[in-house]
Amino acid sequence: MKTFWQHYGLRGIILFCAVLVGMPLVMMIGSVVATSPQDDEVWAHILAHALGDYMVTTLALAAGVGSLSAVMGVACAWLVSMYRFWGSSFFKVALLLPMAMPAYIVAFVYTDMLDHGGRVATWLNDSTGADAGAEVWFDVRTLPMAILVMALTLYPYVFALVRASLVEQSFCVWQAGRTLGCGAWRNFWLVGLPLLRPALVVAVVIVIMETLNDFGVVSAFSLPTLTSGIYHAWLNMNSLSVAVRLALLLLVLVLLILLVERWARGNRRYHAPSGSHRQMVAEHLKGARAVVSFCFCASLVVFGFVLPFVVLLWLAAHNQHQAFAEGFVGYGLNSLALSGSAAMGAVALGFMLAWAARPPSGWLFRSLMRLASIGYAIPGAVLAIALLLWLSAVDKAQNAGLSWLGWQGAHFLWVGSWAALVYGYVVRFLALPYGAVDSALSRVTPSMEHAARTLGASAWNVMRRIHLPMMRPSLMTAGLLVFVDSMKELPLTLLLRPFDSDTLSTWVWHYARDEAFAVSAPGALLIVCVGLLPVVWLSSMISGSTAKKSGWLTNKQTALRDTNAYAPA
Amino acid sequence: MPPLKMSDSPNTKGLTVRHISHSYGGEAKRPVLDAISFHVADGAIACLLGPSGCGKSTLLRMIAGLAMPQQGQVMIDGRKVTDAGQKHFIAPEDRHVGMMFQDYALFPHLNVYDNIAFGIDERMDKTWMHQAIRRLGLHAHVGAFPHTLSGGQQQRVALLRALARSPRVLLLDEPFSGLDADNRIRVREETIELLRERSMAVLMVTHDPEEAMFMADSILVMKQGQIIQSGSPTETWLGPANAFVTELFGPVNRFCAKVCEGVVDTPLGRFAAPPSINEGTEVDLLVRPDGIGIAESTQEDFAGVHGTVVAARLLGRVSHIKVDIGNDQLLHVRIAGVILPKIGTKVAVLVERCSAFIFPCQDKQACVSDRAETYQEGAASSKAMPFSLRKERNSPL
Amino acid sequence: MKNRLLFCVLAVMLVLPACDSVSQREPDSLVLYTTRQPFLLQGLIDAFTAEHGITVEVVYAKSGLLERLKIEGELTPADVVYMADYGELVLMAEAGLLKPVPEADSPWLASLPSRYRPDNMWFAVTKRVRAIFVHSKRTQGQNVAGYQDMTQPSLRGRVCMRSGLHPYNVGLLAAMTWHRGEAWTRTWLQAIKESLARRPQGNDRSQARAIYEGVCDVTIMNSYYLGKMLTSAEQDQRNWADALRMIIPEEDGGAYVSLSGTGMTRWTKKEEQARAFMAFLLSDEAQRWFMQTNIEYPIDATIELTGLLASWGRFAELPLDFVAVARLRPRMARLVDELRFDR
Repeated sequence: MKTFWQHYGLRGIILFCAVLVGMPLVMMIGSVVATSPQDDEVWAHILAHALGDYMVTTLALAAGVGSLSAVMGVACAWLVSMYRFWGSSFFKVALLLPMAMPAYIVAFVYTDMLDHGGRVATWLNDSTGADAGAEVWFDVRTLPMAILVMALTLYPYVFALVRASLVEQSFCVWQAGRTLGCGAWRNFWLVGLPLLRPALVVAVVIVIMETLNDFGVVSAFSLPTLTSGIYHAWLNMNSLSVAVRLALLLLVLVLLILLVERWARGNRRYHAPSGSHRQMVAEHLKGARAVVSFCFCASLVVFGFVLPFVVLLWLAAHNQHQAFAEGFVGYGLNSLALSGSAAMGAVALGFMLAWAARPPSGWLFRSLMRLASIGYAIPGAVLAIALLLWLSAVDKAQNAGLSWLGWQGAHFLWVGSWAALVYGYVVRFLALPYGAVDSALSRVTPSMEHAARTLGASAWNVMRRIHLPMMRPSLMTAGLLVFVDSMKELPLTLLLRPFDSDTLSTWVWHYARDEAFAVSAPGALLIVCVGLLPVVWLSSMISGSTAKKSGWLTNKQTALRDTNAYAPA
Repeated sequence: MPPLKMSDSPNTKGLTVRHISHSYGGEAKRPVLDAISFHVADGAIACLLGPSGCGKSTLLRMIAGLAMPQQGQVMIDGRKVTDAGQKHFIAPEDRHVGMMFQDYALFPHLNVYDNIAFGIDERMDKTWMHQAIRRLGLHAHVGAFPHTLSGGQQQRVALLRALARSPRVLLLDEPFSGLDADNRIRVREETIELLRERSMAVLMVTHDPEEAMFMADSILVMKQGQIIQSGSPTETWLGPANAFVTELFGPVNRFCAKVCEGVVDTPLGRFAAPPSINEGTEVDLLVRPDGIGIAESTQEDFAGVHGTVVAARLLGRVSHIKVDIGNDQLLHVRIAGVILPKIGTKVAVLVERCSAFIFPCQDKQACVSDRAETYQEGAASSKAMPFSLRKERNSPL
Repeated sequence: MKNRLLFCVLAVMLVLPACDSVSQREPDSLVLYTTRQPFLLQGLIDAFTAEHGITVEVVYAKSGLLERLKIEGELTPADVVYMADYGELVLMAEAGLLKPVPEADSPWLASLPSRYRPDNMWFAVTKRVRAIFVHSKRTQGQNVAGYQDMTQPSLRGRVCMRSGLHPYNVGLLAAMTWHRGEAWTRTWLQAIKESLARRPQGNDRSQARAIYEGVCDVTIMNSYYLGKMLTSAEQDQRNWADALRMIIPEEDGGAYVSLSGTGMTRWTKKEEQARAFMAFLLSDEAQRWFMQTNIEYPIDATIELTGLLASWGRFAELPLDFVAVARLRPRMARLVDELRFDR
């Protein structure tokens, strides 16, 4: 029976988990099928009058944010990794900071500051003595500004992944480029960029998915994107079915992007084939080049983090008494516990699914697993509805079963439980650990797995003793991303959260919604601060140097970082 | 084909492989393994020798349980571990098989000690392992991580790791291919010593005939998924089954001729054809370069073959001499000792009959093509032949 | 060993949230689903608990409560809903999610005019006006008394609006259509679009700010925002409000009002407590609370206006058929799309 268990048991469990994750999506698609004539009418209207705008704006936004954050992220990752200039080691950490800043907060701060009569205009008018600012104002709520704001908060994804990839590459590769007559600039284009491409593509895909999913910034800038269309169809047109149709369209868009990524990757692999690894030797920048590098990095940090942070700090300082009176410490603890559970759950499940789907399994199984991690592409609100559909079906079945057993009136509901919320987060963010594990698994060569098997380890043992430890850094990183994202998550939390309990994000939102954002600024500040801790830790994971000093990482893990070059050639 | 050392008794100790066949892309397509059967006794070392791509590694993985053959059985110590016919399959971890991989497959996240002890249960006796670590000079590196080790050290770690669990069968996949020449000789000796003191069946895969002869009690020569010869190293060396096996052991002088009245007439002289070859068959005469002697001779009455020395080089313990035997044919000769005749010296050529082999010509194309370059350069000899034939032919005499 | 311990800790942390769902709620408590904000309700709920000894558990949400009720069906824990906007109440009543309150055993209903309690399915709690706001100095020459006046040529390029798709605006358009017909509304909206100073954007308060800053001179906002800004702790907001003059458009017989309202869910097992809660929302005490806290008009016309509301005075109200108006909303949302109002 042991062989049966090994062959089917483990897979069965994993398949079950995948189904659990996929079920809300199935319910969602089911709700599209069940439409009324009224829904079709709404759909016809959307097609005729709105869809064009939605598509154009959405695509422009995605393309803009994707390319701008790619440029920002790659440029600063390259500068910070390959060169030394004043502040470069500080920037290694600081450039990640905007990741902790929810985009809607940045959007609020900038629209508040730059809007007509905002702080900037007021200051300019005061200093120039002009009246009523008629001379100095520009329209803030435009597509380019939205792109800029989103890119400022999303470029750290590119920065983190590209820098990690830079650190992993053998330095010899760059040196080879230089000896073959490439200048620094040519070396970047001909050697650097192609080698960084896989990391860059993954990062940009994440950025684009975040962009497609965003509602906070889009609504702050009143842009007609697909997400705002979803809310429009749902709330104004009372047609959930049409909303779900639009959400599915969004999903198709995301799938297309993923497909393009696959296609672009092809069969190529980019790994340094040599087993030896040399530490990067950064070149010293001097003069104008150092100044330009410094200014570039500094402006990203200032506009992406420092400025919004200071504004938040200022608002929080003026409102802290009220915040404490409302007991925001409790909300903070709720948020921490929820996000922590979500991170662990998502990492555990993501690892299992990606592990089960690694190459020897068939394409059907693989695509099933991949499909399970698609929750990331679904707007939070739609996913929340899908989850509600699914969980209440479970609740009904469960209660029917219980009362059949004579267990009357036991109000045991999944809907509105902490568990359901964590489940929701896991479904929503599973793609992050799944993707990380999927790419990290390529580091484990088939012969390592085979060696372990012949050394007496069962399939389960191989996973525990080989895959899991080798993947630990990737898992940690993914866990942190899930943690921070769950912390910021809003629509799902609002709909699935248990009675009478708030998280930081819902609390902040209650006030932001009433156009009294300042009151909950301490909460927003706390979201940012909590988000900061893992970000700083993430940066130490990438560079490894601080980790060694702090002793947090054992010798083993630092070695692992160095042996990433062990991947198959 | 010589009879295999096969035993039908299920209680035989060691590794038994029976009629393993496998092909990619369904039954009808190219067979990777074609009815492979052999037995490796407990304590014996067998070598699968063959060019790359002949299916050796696939076979090894099937024995280890890392792949399932389409047909055939594998038995370890009389226990059936794979039986394709009955869909019987025992997981690799339960087979008591040790395997060493060509790329060593050391776990990068574990240090040397943890790598070696990976397969060992906490309750198992570790004395042998500790001794072996010390003996192989790894004790100073137990805390180090694999990537910091030299190739030789990595090889030792991989070997110890495979041995530490006292497997019943040890499978070595090109265990020395990653090492440079002098390291290879030392590590080989260490390895054989280590293998001899453990009682188990060892099956090694290699494409290097010298390595096979050095390590093995018996050699199994594989070609395109088939075992074409098996026997002790001496048997294989002295009686290669065909031209392929002969050439596997190193470059040879090849001549093409027809059997005429039971005799093969070649530029090297007349040789009696083996009785198994029919009259009129096209045959190859293969003469190993070390099976040829030369003597300085100006005598016209010498009945044998005459030639002119074109080049002579000292390769250390042997001298390599090229002799032009007329008709645009070059003969490669290797003689132990420092024997360097001047270029242009007339010599008489003597062929040692036991180093000359006659086989029916299998590949006519090869037979009639460029007759000047009869000396087939094998992979192993490329380093030993630093000069080009053509250049010397053009050089003024 | 250490690994195993870590594993256990992780496992417990994973399982812990699941345990929560098993824990029972207090048996006597009332469950309220609401789209109003905590700051507005919490004080009231505390007062209600003190008075009646019934605890209330609240789910605050922005949207999706209708779907949640539908999905939960008879398993819903909700007893009462209190929606900031009556639109969703109409939909809930249509979906059969609410239970009518019999007039016989609810004396508090009598004081409420019947159009504020269609079929006794739901009950209006507060009302507000979507009023016109102009810059108090820059529009002195202009006669702006109603929505139609906003489209006069002299105001071209001087109008600010938030998104036409915002429920506030969709609700206003629906009321207009109910009252004057769709053609009129379409013409009006088109004219407003041509008079805009900038693309529709921002929230209600940012329209006030735009007027203060001189971007435009006329806008539409909910009445209570003026009060909130006037009483704000921030000097900026008080400045914006000070620049404004509110006009409650009473042309053609009265202003269009909007309601917040409450109702009892169909599956509630605590009807009595639910009725007590709804009665409490309509009590003088609660009505005054809304008046003070959110500057909303009380639904009960007999209650004396206090504070800012008193200074604004009473206004004539158009007797809208709220159910009919709510049903017009999807059509209005489409109208906004068709005219590309937001683009």
